[in-house]
Amino acid sequence: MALLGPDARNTMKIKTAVLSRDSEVGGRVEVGFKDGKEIQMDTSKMTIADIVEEVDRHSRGLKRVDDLAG
Amino acid sequence: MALRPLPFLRLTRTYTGLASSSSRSPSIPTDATLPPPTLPGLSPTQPRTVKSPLTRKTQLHRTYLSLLRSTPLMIFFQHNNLRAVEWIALRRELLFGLRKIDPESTLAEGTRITVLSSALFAASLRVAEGYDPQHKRSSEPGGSKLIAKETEGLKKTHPLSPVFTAPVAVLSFPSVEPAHLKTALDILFPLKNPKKGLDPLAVSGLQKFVLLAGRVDGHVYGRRVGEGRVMDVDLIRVLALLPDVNTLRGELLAMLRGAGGADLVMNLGNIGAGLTRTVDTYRKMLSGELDSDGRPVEGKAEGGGKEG
Repeated sequence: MALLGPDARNTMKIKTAVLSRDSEVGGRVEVGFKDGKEIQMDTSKMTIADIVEEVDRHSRGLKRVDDLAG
Repeated sequence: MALRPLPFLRLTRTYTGLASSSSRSPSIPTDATLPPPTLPGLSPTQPRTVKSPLTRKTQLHRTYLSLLRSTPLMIFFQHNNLRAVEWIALRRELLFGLRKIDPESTLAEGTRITVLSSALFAASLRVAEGYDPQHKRSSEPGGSKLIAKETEGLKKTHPLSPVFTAPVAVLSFPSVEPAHLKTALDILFPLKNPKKGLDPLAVSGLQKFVLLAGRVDGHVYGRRVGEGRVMDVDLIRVLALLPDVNTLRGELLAMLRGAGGADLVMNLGNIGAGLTRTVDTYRKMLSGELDSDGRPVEGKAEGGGKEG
């Protein structure tokens, strides 16, 4: 969360829920991209770098498409 | 001719000299408290410390310790890249919102948002709860190593320790007042939509908050110094819904009266009344108004010494 810029909430929709202390499920991150692709990640065993890598993999492709079109 | 140490050299060496002098020089007994380090520009009333009190880390550590020891209710939350104007707007909204409840009290000014350095605050928490809960052990030479050894377990077991991995700020209240807590939660951490009439900057700021946990200090809930009860988000919201202490006392009294506890209330009151009468009789006996059996000297029938 702290990796998102101060203006991130103007450009995307961000929803956070804090799990209670004795919650059974681990953490979870769901990302929906603008082309409709959705990624779900179970973060109980991932580090923050892993998550960033996963998300960036698709967004790099999107960026390339944008650059080629624009 | 022997070299005279330059004055500034002596000043810089005073500090390390003091820390180790207790074990080396035989003239100073080891258990005597050493005088505070007198560094240039430092007040002699500053507590003794082994680390240099002029560094930012030491000052923050002291600030956090005093915050932990003096604050009955703390709410920890994560803040994600807020702009300065958003912080200002949020602090102003909080202050005005709290002032509205009770314009006379100073609680609104005492309620503060402090941005914490999370690792340092976690270390201070371990000192306050694990190493020096009674506020009696001063910092000893080599204290940081002692603390690290004694509180190693708390890193894993303390319920607040997972909280301090993010950018954390704390909302500290000078006393536990559910009404104030509720207003602060409504402004800073609304359940659905932000409160109406808020500054748009404040609204964009509070979207970047995540409520994490709360801590009620030990002296509030059980008269135990040096520990805190950690609350999760649901518990904080429940606490905010409670009525204040005076209302609860009134309710208890009304409930006792209603449920046939009038006898109980009377009996509880009787203890005090009986004691007063006994002591008063004893006083009269001493001053000669009554004889030793509790009878009036004049011979009137009055059972003064029955109680007790």
